Amino acid sequence: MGRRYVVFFEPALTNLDAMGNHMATRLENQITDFLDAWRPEAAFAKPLQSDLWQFKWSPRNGSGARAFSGYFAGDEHNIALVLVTFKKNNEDKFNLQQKAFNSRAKSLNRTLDSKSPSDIGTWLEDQRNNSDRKVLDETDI
Amino acid sequence: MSAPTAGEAGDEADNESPEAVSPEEALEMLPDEDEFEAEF
Repeated sequence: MGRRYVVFFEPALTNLDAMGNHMATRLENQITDFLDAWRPEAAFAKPLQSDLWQFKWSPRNGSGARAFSGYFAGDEHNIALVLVTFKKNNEDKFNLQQKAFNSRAKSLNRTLDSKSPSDIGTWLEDQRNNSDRKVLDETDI
Repeated sequence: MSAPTAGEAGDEADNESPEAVSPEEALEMLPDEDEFEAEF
């Protein structure tokens, strides 16, 4: 089992920022459960497609928020690749594009699969200086 | 079941608004395979 990381891509961060503090915080809490869940996959609500997973925050009043994510399980790194976030109210529109998001997650995984653990470690460090991305690891919780 | 809190009621209103980034725009913003490869 490798070290765990969450990488938020730009569309995920942009929609989180626009979501409102309460909803964004609750969804982000669900996502960061990936870092300390008993196993990483347990933090996802469910797998949606071959390479696409869903994070989900569902309060009792029927609102809520979702995220589409890739998941890379390497020898030394387990990475949630959070592609996009959205409100439950808009999930139909995002679900219509599940195949395209799955294809994108698959291509990210394919690239990561072709890299050495050292290359991936360097990439993760680089992402900390990328203002369009956000990286969290087990030390951030 | 308890009534929603004030915060949750506020989110219900927020929930009606469109996203800042649509699914199509999100796919445009995400790196394709060549762009992602170039990050290494």
